[in-house]
Amino acid sequence: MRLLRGRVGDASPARKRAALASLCVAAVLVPLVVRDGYVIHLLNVLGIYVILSSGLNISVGLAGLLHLGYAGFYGLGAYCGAIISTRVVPGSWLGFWAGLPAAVAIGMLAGALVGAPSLRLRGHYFAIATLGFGEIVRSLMLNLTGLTQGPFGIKAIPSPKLLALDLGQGPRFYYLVAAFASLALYGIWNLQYGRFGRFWRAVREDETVAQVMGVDVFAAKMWALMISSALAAVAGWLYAHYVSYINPSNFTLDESILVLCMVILGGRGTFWGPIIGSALLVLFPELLRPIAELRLLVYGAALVVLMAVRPEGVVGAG
Amino acid sequence: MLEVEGLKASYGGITALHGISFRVEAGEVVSLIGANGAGKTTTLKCISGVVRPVAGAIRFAGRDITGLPPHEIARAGLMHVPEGRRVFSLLTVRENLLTGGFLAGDASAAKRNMEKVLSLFPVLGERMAQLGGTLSGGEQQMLAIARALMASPKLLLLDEPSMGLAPVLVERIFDTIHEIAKDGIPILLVEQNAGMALETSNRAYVMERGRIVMEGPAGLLAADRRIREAYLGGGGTRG
Repeated sequence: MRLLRGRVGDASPARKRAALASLCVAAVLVPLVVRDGYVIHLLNVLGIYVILSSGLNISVGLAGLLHLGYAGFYGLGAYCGAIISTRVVPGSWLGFWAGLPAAVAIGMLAGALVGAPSLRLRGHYFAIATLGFGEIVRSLMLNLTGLTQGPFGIKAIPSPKLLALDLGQGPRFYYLVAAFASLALYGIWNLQYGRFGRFWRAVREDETVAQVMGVDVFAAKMWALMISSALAAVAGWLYAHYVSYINPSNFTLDESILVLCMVILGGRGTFWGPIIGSALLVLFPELLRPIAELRLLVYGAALVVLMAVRPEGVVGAG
Repeated sequence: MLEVEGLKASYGGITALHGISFRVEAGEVVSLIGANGAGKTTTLKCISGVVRPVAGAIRFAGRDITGLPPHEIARAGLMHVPEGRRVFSLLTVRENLLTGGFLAGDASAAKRNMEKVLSLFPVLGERMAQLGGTLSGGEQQMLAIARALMASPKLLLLDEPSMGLAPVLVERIFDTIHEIAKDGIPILLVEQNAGMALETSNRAYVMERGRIVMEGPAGLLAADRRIREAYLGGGGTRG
């Protein structure tokens, strides 16, 4: 646990790097040891949630922006990827990859659209604006039937391919997700412990002082939101091609709240918090499957106890 | 260096500043003294852009900075150390200093400034990896001043640096202000501790209810009977 206390200053940089390196090695070894397809599937889902929660942590944990519509950005990325693979470049392995830059672009653009009016104001406007955005995206998914098939969703999304190699099969998708999650985490690591991370945390701690220290608070928040949004869209793009069928009910407020819970339970503002929060909320409910109908009850009670005992999250430090 | 002319400010219809004018020349320490609610803090907030003035002009180093956003005013070299210390409590001491350091220009300038502020406040050097919020009140005040110095300021605005500190620390903070001024950085100091402020300053302005009521060399003001009575504990109400 000591090693995992992700708050800056707690562990030396060398130690933090060692922790990160051992995580990477473990991730590479997993499919060689674990042969169970169900476990691999859970890990794939976990990988997608790690991208989502670590991405959301930039806005919520570092920049202190209460974001309530993250599923909207996740859904935008998923629909963008799905539409490109099934309609724009159908039947080619390029369709999958073309979705990536498109998802990043649409995520950042949507982030800028939501942020431009709401980030200039202090108070709860941002939370309300993102909440509204999530609902707008869902309503667009339901009503732009020509593009999205409305409530029927988009079926038969091809699995990811690289030339003739099917990346959707068995542990290959695991490695694909692990690669993107690692890339995202690497980038976040550098942002978080660099100048940007310092500015975001300064803005979160005291906006006025950050301003008089020369930080352009609006720009700092805008970058946080746009990077968060782009990561959500990338996660959505991966998700759509993994499950091969998406519909608007995948991207509701419940999903936004779930990812927010991962960030808060794990420890917002820390590097490891969202990763641990994702592991808890993806794996724990599965462990409870044997007790069937009592599952949600125990799950809910466990969350309440965790928040009562460690309100700052598993790895958070006050 | 800094010229303020006819500055007016109000909070939701209540006028806090009724058109005040003053200036700070290069190499000077100037203090604004006065009772609570006289408008001293509002004046500093207007200068650093945190509060938008209703009327008047603020010129800094020959440039009109009235109404500019705070981060641009900071980037012009005017650093505000706000009242109540306000260090970033969940950032380490080093990170607190580095937030100021990015305005220093380049990495080597930031490094030089870091050495300079650590020799000014050696205690911060021992606390580099500690979170800002875990420092004592006096240390937090030193960190707040050091953080501003990291930016190589051309003018320092200090708001109540002695507030809430033990007398021995108040002495220590004023010694530091002396040293900073000796280094050639002009300071505009807002203080309720008028005695210490006048001892440290070249000139001073006395504020009352949003107006400047007296001004002059600090030594003359300290000797003035009315000032002694009103602000230096020579009878009457203390501000």
